[in-house]
Amino acid sequence: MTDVPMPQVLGYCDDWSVAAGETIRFRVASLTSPRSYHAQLVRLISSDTGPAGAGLKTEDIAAALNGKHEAALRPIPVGSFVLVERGDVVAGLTSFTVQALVQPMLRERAQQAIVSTLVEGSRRPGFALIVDARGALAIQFNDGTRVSTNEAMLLGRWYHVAASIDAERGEVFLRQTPLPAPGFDRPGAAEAGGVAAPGKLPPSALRIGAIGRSGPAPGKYATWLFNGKIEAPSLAERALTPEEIRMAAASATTLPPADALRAAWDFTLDISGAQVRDVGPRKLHGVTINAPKRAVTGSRWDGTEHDWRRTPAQYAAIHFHEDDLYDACWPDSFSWAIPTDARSGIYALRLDTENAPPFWITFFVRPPRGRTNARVAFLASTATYSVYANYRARMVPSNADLAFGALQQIDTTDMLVMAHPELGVSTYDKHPDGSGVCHVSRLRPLVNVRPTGRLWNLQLDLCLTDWLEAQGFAYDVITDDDLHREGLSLLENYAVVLSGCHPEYWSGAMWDGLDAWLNRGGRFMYLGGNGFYWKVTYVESHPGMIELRRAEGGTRAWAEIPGEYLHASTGELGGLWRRNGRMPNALVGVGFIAQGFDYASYYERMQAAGDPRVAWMFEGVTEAKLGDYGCALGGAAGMEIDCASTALGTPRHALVVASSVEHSKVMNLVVEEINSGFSGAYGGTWPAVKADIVFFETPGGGAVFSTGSISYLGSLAHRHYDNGISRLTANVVRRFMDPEPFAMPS
Amino acid sequence: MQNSKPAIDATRLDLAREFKRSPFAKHSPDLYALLEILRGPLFNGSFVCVMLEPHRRYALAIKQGGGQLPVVLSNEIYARPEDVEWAAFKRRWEAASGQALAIE
Repeated sequence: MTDVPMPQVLGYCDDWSVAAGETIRFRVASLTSPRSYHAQLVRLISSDTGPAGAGLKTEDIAAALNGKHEAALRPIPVGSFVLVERGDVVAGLTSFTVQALVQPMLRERAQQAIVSTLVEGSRRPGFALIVDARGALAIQFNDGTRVSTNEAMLLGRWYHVAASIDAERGEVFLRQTPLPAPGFDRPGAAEAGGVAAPGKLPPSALRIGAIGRSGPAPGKYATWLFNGKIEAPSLAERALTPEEIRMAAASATTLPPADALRAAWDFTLDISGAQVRDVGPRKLHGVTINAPKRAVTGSRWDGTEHDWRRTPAQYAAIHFHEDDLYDACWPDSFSWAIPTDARSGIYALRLDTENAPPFWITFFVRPPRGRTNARVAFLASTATYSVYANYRARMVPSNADLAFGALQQIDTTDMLVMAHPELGVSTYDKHPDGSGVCHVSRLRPLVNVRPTGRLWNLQLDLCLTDWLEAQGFAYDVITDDDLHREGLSLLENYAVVLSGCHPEYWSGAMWDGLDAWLNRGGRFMYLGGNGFYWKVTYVESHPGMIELRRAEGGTRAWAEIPGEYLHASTGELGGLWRRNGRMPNALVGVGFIAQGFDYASYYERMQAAGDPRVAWMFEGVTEAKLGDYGCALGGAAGMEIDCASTALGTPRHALVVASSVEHSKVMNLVVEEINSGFSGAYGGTWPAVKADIVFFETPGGGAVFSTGSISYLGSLAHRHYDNGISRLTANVVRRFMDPEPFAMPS
Repeated sequence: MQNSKPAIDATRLDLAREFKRSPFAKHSPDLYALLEILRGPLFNGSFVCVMLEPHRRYALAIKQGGGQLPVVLSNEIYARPEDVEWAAFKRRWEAASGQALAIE
């Protein structure tokens, strides 16, 4: 084996969609040791596509920040928990009782904290109610004293857990009590007693789901992170008797007697936000750190209700994970005041260190707010880039080669997330406890939003910007984030908007904005595949974070937990847009139909290509095999492909001007198209498995042109841009820029 | 009782040659049947292709699980992903047939 050189200095920016005239701030550091690096601001024109593409093209941008810098060693505070910072939460307590309902979901850890006032390495009196290495309930004190039930709790089972500390007697009592559940497992309750005298507790913060750890961002660092669900943690100001605890467990309540109530945190309140409310007399409220999953099924969920807004009592839990990450909390290293006359485009700050590949902090510069610099805009798929960020699943053993029809490919920046798990994960991954990742944030180094490495998303989108420049088309760059915030007003002054290769993830506001613009005469070129597929929400309480629930069905990396299909941030049903009343086919004429990654094929012209409505479209295009070349698996039609379907909403006047052929049996029909598994639903045998190039006019004088393939953009640069895909695309851009309205066919 | 019959027919060198010729292409039905066995859970070997240097240097690696980095088999560095596919194919062939593939 070998040590693979990976980038050594990493970074991110405060916001990656910025306007000329604004200031962007960069946060740069090392995860291994302090080291020197060189920073260079560049505009990205093309990606490193390998021998079949245009190759990496960047333009250096003059800026004061260019040059040598020193990167400090900065850890990243990964892992979610609740922080109650009020010192009076435990101050003065000598005897007390801590209770909670818990559903442990991972065992292979030395300890996982449920409720704690301990800080790693500190001698201050404190406690941590934990799940120990064998999976049993235990309590540990600052002097190292630990008392355990020594009885493993079953993973996935809800338990009432309690520990009482009686200072007068110097005794500890512990009990874990399984709650009733369907099925025939009958785990028993377990109790334990011991001797401990933690003394009077000083003022200190309390954490739910972790213990504290010192670090440069106070309160954000933690360890002994819990993997599973916690519900209704509480604190009583005296030692409840064993009999009181047994009675509480029997009724699955953690609320202390009124005369002993110190705090009781009710997770059913403020589910959409970060606040955690104490319903006790002192109002010892807390906040979630690193965005644990809320709106999750709790101990009382019985399957009769799936909407957390209607029955919050069934959604009284929070699901914590040791790899949740919202904010890396790095301080600003330097900034760039973007000149007002800066060209709109895709930019990056390249960080070079000796004997290591560079790291790229990619960002997007739009024209000054309220202005456009071109009639054409490229809509960068920042929602999709976010969702894929720090994708780890490719490095997890699986049978993916059967689905891909080839080895999965990774590069050295992909490997960073395995070398440094504190970089967090993508929504294509599962947490260590097996549950799917539903939050993703850009406030951390993003290893795979860069212009080099394996071809996907941004790298292929840079084939489009390269082609636009080679063809002399002036363009602005705008982003999904902008469209979500501004809707129609972002688009209304553009004649033509072009998508990237894979605009898969859309918020409702983004969809509304595009739809409204199309109805007013906008011209949209959907130059990708598997677009408009999953619903995402931008989480208002956590700027820079996106929520995704892979609900119900669809071609997906994991399946959402039953009962947790509604987003916490908005209450919307998650999942595929086609299951939410919005068909991609209705918006852009095509919808996701198949995927396979062995090779990409080509299109053949259909009879509709001769229709007078599109007489301008194929001028100069002579190829019989349209797009049998390119850097994205060797053809224009491949990876993930879409086809037209009037049953799914393709307008009846839409023209399918070309369709792909010659796909292999690895190009498999998507699962949402079938109700039960069978053999033969793939390329060559299943007629719908094809990428369709579709054109249709809209009532406002606009039009839509869709290519239905992720690989399409990889063909533009072939033979120095002199090829059929390039000519076809240019013909469409020119006609779409022409203000002459499109007429709806009669 | 163990089933001693090899999972694949090691005499079908024609299929190995077909794969080596064009690993990223439409294959014959017999080669697809073979690949479904080799890429399946029994023999896939958890291989992954590592692009060590963008589009210039590649290697075969083995996924580890448990949050560990893939182990790169660095004694074999390749210029094309096709060569990495062939390296994985040969290893899988041997695992499934019990015989080293007699084609370089």
